[in-house]
Amino acid sequence: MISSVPLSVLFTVGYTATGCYALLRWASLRAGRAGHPGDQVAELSHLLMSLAMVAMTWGYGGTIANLVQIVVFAGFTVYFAARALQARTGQPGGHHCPAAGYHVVMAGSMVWMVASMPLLMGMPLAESGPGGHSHGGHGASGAADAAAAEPTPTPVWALVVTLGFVVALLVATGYWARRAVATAAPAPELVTVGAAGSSVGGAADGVAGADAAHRPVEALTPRTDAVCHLAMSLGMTAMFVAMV
Amino acid sequence: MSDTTLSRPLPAEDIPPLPENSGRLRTWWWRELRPLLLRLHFYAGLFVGPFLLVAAVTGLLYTITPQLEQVVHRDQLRVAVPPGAQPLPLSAQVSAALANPPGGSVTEIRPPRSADGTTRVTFDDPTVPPDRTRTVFVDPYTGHQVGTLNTYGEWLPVRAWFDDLHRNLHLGAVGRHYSEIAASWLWVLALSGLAIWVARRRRDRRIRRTLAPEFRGGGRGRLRSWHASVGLWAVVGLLFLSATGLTWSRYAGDHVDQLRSALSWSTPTVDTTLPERTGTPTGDVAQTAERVWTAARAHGLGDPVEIVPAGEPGEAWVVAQVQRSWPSKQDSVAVDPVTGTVVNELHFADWPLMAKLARWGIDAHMGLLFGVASQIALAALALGLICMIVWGYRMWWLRRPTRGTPGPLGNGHPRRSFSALVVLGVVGVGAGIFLPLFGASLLVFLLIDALRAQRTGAQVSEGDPGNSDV
Repeated sequence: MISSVPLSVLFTVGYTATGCYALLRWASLRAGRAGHPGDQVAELSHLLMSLAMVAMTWGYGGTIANLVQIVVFAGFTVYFAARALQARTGQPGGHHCPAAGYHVVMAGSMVWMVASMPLLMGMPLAESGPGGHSHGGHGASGAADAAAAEPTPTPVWALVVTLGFVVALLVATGYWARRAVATAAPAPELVTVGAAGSSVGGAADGVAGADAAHRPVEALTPRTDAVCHLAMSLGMTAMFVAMV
Repeated sequence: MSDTTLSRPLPAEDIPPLPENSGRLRTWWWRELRPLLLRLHFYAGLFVGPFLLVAAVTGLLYTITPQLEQVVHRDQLRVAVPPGAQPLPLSAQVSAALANPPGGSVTEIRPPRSADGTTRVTFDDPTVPPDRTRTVFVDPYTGHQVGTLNTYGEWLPVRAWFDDLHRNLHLGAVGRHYSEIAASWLWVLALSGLAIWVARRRRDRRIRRTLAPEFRGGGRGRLRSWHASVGLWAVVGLLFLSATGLTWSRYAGDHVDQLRSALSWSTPTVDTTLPERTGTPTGDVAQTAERVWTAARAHGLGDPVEIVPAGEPGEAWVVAQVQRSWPSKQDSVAVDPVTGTVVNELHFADWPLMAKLARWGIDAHMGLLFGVASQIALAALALGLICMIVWGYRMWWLRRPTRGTPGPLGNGHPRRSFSALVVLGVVGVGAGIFLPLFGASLLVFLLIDALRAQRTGAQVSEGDPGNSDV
């Protein structure tokens, strides 16, 4: 949990915004209305990551939640690594995001962040107790209290690894900032399924037919994508700094 | 979700054209949201069906446990009443239990509920599993022990066995996930099914066709009418089972408890704080139990009750009513074990409304609130749910794609609705946060669907003419 309330509010607002963006982007891809190619799995991972960051900001979770996050984001790391490899080797289905490796770093950062939180913040893992009440009508079984413990110093190796991720995320932040500035304001050109010359990787998620009534879809452009990625990587960097 | 390989097109009767003067909302419902709900209902039913089937079957078995318990454990629950005999003092009965006790200390004493009932003295025996206790049954007329059983709260072994079966398939904490998944998705299926069935376009004999199944004809149409009309009649009960079942679940139940606590909806407990005094209780557990019980009865607390010793030295004992059938009796008093004075009391009538509803909801879910009528209603619900699940799979089997037949819309997919996806996405995120296993399973569905879409799209880019995605 972040001790600074203003910083917590800032994280919450920021990641709520990125989560909403990811939901809109996923819906546009799923509905075949996307203005530019994308990856539904990536957008779902953005949504999940945004939710996880908000929960982390306010200290929600526990041992089981942490374990699930580690498993899920490790899965995403493997997925994005495979997609990056596909794109690099020119195979169909390669990742559409121009910085495929960025997602590998991002997903890996989430795994490290959740796994290392106790080390970086010098606290024991929080226990989450069983919920509900017994059928026998007795009172709810209470959650196990987290054992009070003295803060422990962060190991040097954990700091080094964290610094490595921070540097990688800062590089990514710079990359996305440059893309956000450099990307021209788009006219929505939707990818036609099966058309010759569809984007590299071929796994098109859009269909022809822009609909002027769907303004939220039109607002989802490569530039806004870049801004969203910028916000996420900047937020991750700030979270690591806040944790150390 | 992609379903090119999983189903055939909808029958024509379900997709007549919209009238020209249809309003915007109506158009949005028919063209955008309803197709999505139909797909959600289909996929959720297909993959969550097994969990619901197990919950329904085990729940059906659970409905007979009150009677089964009386039969299986009658030697511990019933005694012969000697003519003209009076029960021994409670202290003598408890002393009889303490004469040859299991391990641990006394956690609860329950005087008999009827003239031929036994007295129960419960111990927190460390040799039994953590969620179990050890209960000694005493003949109140002779003071003899008539049995010692492992108990789960107030449940005896046979009911506890069925309870565990329904709750976690006897797989412990891991097994609880199945029942939580079932409860987490049941409301989704019930509400989506209700919306799909009630809002249909054919107007002829609409009420008749909505409320009752088709008895003539065959195939999917008749199956669908049975599946949906039974679901319509059962929807309130299914929503009730889902909501009350979630309060028992591991993760969602935790959130329910937090919500209730935050809104002051938690079940209150009588204050056991004692006035400051000097002096220690005289007599042993048996004599103290009799002292506090006498005080509670004199204060007007009627049977059946449980007597709970003080949790800590210097706290009051609690005597609480334990009748869970209608009208519920849940009043409680805190009694000074030294002086036998009632120091605090809490009436069920003074509980927060939500706490009362929770009490009634739990007791109704367990078939306790209205006795045999509850059990019959729950059995009917369980049977209805089992039939709906079987009919649902039968419908899917009849609509399965066979070699050479096209997907639901030929070689393409219908255009899906962006706005409907956003609406359902927001609902899904909110529900997924409160119901974690619902959120996790929904995420798995969406990821699988996205991966399938990518794979199909990759085949398109390789020049495969047979499939196109989205």
